[in-house]
Amino acid sequence: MPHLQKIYEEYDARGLEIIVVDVTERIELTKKIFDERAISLKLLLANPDESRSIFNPTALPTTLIIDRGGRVIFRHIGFYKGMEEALRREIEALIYRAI
Amino acid sequence: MKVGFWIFIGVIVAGIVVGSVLKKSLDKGISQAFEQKLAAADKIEDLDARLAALKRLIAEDPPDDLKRRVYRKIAATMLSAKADTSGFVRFAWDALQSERGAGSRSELFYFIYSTRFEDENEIVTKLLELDRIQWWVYNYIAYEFFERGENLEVALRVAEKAIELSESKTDSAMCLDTRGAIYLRMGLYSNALSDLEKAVALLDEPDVEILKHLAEAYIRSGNKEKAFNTYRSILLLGEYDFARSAIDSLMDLQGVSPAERDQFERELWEERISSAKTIKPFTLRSAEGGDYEFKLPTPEVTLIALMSPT
Repeated sequence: MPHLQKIYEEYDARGLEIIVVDVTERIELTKKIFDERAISLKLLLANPDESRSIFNPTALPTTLIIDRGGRVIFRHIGFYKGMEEALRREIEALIYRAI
Repeated sequence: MKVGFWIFIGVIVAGIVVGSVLKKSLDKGISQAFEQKLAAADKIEDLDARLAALKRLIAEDPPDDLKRRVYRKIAATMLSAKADTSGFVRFAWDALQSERGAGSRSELFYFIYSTRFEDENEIVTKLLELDRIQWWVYNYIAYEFFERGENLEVALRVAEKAIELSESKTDSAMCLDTRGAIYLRMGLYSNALSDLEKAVALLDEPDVEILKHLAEAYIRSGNKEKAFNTYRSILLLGEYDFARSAIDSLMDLQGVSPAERDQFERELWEERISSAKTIKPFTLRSAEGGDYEFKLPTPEVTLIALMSPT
């Protein structure tokens, strides 16, 4: 999660919004983790039905990047070495193509 | 006569529906009560007392999905909090003797394996002899062997068992990917291609990891054109480093001009945009209180991370 906070701080001024959705209904634990790691990202709660109907994830974590037209440009399940850089490239591609 | 018959059928159907609703509510009630007991047990600070409480919950013989969660808590308490690996491994083998539920048996075996306490070959031999272990345990172990490049013959047997037990199309695709990747590492490229092409065809949504193995299998078997197209289909999913550098190398080999590269990039991006699905507006509860509404037009770029706190 700290990697998302870092990315948010880098691109916030250029129009990036980051939303973390807790899909396991263990919000107290997630809030504690956010507090401990000084994470200020928007945190939402989705129960399993909401999560399925809105995002339909096959596994966790799932990351989506959405353009201003609401199109899901990037969808990735899991976390891998180098993902932080890949997310930056996706975000920059959308920001610069929009200019 | 006819009306009487339909009334009779109506009563029977209504009885079944009401019975099923009542059973679901009863099951939900039992499950909620058990969840509360599990949460209370998990909060006990004294580790021995917590373990005793968790073991009492096992003795209540709850449904398999709840019981496997209790086993998970026992594993966390014994392995992390008490650092009693040998005690946990003894407990888990004993529990496996009497445990019937496939979910619980799989959870127990997975934890025994994860401790690395016993000889790996012996554990895998035991795994192949056990029954009622779910596919994901075999798949996990086979894939781990593949990643380490060790015991590939054994990994192949374990992957075959995973394929045999897989339950859904997605499970099968994951298991075929594992076996295909093992074949790839063994240099058996036509076997690898056969499994990986099947795995890709089984999935409704493309999977980067499977496509990566498939592209590598095409490269190794000398089919650069199919490899190029497979790496391109990965780039349609996102800017993955490995796919980008593979495409660049293949373009270098083919002597692709800068203008052709620019055109490739433009077409790739246009295809990404045109094939992207649109997310519907939604409203979810915010952790700060109130609702958060996601609606068009959205911000310039929105990143949504779906996660579990652990």
